[in-house]
Amino acid sequence: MAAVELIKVNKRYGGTQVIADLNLDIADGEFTVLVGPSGCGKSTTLQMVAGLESISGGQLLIGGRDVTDLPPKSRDISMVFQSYALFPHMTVQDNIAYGLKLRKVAKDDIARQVGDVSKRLHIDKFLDRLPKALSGGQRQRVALARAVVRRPGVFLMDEPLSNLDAKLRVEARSFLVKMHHELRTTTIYVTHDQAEAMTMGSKIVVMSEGVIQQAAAPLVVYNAPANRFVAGFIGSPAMNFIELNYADGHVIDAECGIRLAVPEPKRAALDRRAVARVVMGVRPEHFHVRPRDDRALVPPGSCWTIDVRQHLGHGTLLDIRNGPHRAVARSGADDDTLDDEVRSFAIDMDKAHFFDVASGLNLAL
Amino acid sequence: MTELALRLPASRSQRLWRLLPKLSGTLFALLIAAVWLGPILLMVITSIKSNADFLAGPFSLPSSPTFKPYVDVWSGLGFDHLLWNSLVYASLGSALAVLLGLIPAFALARFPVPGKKLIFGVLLTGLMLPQQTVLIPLYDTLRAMHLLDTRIGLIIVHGVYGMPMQILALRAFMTTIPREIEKAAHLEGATDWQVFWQIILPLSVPGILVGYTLNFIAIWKEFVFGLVFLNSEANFPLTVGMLKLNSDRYISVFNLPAAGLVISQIPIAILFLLTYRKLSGGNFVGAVKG
Amino acid sequence: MAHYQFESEGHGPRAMLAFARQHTFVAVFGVGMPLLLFAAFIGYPILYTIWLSFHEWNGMTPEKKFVGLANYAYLIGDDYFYTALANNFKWLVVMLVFPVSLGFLIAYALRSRLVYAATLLRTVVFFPITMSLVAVGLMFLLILNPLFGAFDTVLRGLGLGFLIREWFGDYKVALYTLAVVSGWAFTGIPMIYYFAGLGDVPKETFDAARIEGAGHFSLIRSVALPQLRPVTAVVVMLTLFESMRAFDLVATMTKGAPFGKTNVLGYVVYLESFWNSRFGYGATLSVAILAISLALAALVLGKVLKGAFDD
Repeated sequence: MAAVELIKVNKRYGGTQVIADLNLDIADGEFTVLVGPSGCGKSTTLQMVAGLESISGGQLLIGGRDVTDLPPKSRDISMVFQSYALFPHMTVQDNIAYGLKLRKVAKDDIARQVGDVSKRLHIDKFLDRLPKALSGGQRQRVALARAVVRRPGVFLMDEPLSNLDAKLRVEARSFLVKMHHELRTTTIYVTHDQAEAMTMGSKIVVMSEGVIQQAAAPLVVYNAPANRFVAGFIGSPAMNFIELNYADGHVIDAECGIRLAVPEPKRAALDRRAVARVVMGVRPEHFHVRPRDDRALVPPGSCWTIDVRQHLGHGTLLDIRNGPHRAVARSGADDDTLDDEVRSFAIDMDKAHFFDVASGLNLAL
Repeated sequence: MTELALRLPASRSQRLWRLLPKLSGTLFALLIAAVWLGPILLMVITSIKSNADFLAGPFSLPSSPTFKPYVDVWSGLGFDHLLWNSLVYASLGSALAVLLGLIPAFALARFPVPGKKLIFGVLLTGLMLPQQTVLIPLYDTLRAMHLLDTRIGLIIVHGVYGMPMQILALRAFMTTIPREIEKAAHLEGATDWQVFWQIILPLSVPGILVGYTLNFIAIWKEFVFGLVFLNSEANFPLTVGMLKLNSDRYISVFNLPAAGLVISQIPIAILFLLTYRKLSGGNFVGAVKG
Repeated sequence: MAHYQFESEGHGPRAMLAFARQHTFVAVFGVGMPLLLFAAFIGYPILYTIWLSFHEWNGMTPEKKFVGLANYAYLIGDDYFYTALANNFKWLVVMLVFPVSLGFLIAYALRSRLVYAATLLRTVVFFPITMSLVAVGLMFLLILNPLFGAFDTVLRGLGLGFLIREWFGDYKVALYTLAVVSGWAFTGIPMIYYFAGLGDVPKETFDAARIEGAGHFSLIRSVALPQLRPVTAVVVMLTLFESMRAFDLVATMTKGAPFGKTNVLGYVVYLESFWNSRFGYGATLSVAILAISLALAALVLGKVLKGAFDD
């Protein structure tokens, strides 16, 4: 078991700086997910922790030791690759035992440990087979077994579920979480899928363009995103962003008839910053379509036209517009809207976020 | 195979018109086949003719096919020695070239070797060199090491001269091995040597077989080094020994040289038929392309 | 703890030492050893040849007499040399025209499904690659024999008897005979390179041209060949090397006759060194061959460096 610390870590390729002054603390036993779009630097960071890429500047500590200049085998880590990287010419048994054999563990011990792990992972029946005779899910478990059997201080996982089909992926996800509960090994997990990130990690690290946008527990990231990028990246369908004027404690777009009161304490934060315009972020589930005959409660400015309705069975997604503003709203399975109909929507302002137009920072945190 | 011809529905005259390219193509193919297959078939037929048949003209069919030319030429030239020598040179020389080329190929395929471009340039020079440029100094060197007119000497020469080609071909093959497998081994603690021996080498076996076969054929065909570095008939490979067929004793009666030719081709023909599929594939073409 | 090196950190001797220290096994056997062998078996011989070209040596006694530029002076006046040089170029031209274009056409015909029994055709044309040139030479000695050879019989049978020449005796024709035979054996190589290359050309480019109405001639000229430039580069290089090695057929079929008119450079080196025991002059000739080969290769490489040999 080991904690991982990245201190002011830099990565340069030739003249280009891809990661600058990255700081991250991962507690012992924590399951941390690095998530972000392609090219955000999450894989590079993982490779640096693994020792497969050099660290151009800064320090890396694993279990309190400075491993910045050490080769991978001295870092007490193991890794599961996206493609599993199983040795195609070796049996499952030999694949799993590879690291142990290199460390000259006694043959009996190897057989015992390999047997143990493979039973846990339900691959004990395949020990004599070659990787090509296994299904995708089975291969993935062999890769896991290889990583687990050495009992390292840190597990590194590079998008291990990307190559599985959707159904297997969900199964594998819960499997990994269960495994983590049992083993309690520090895990750093990289993915581009925000749903995976949300469901698996005790801490999510959202990255973009080499910079950590926010590092916090999943629900914190979901409910209190640090900036517009995080807000828009986490959650599906994505949060709606509507640019509006701000005055008098209200967000306003007079032409579209929008005038909504900003509740405290967010209003105080916005007043303090003396902004004239904000980007309001509202998640689809915080748009509520009002009943058709509920005319009495219609406040001015929450009327939207229905463009497209997508029935999901358990609910409905509505593409709605108001002037230049577009949004996606969630509705129930009993949704009764019609195409091109104008309906009023109530917006749960307590759950709304307000981002600076230029920097994207969440102004009310 | 890429299907380059479009299939469009056509009228009768169009269909006839479209037949034309296929017709001329077939004519072309027949011509090519005749020019390439002809000489070989001719040799085979000639080799089983008796002396009398031979005088009757080149295209006459043998009236009573006989294997006597084969027997005569076999003992006359000492084909048993020649075949054995060629086998030794080709198999061992090729093995040496592959052995010498494996680790350099690994180095160039996977490691950031300083001055890689320079090394490539040097390798290519080695390939381009006309053999005659090095004949004399090699002759002198072998003489000084008392390796002239020895089998070992020729094997070493073939091994070293086959090495550049093997390096390029094996390197190209090794780059097709997924990098992540090596990273995984490296992560588990394997040293360079262990990665090479336990991972890369087993996975390179197809590439090694192709390289070995190509080198085998090349050495079997080779002539200059065998001619210059060997003196005793006991050491001659097929190519050098067969020169004797161009002497009056043999060249005047065609069935004898024809038989000699056929004998010399049989081992290679067998090898060729067994491995043709794999050889003409992208492998060695890709090796030089990239 | 020594700095663990992840990627190549520049070039130069310090980088090389760092690389060697960390990847010792690879550096020694993967870089050091081949370079050493190269130096010993190729580098040293070349230097030795150049050195020897300024001396006289008979190959038997150890004395090598320094004669300065005398060999080179002789070279400039040596008719055999010029004949051989001219012959090498004639050979090269024949090789560039005949096997390369024919190899391409066959590959194209195969890919365009214009022929039946494609695999058979491919095998048949490729087969001579496995034959030693000595065997090829002997075979054509028999076929082109003036009295019993099949070739003359075929010509006469087709009514083309007037084309018959003394294939080996007539000095105007002999060299071309050899070059054509060499081309016959070599055609398989351009063929498979073009065959593989055509397989890589996207089919859509052909389809698009065909829809515009292009016939085979236009297809070849405007679609196939431009996209095959890197392959052509490789094929030309190979043809170049092959023709500089034109030794085997000469040694087998004509031995330079008649009157040294079918000599090629490589063979002259052999004759002068091993038959006339003039190793010094043989070395001089070797230097000349090397210079010419390098010049030619540099010329072709220069035109070709735009991507045929990318690392």
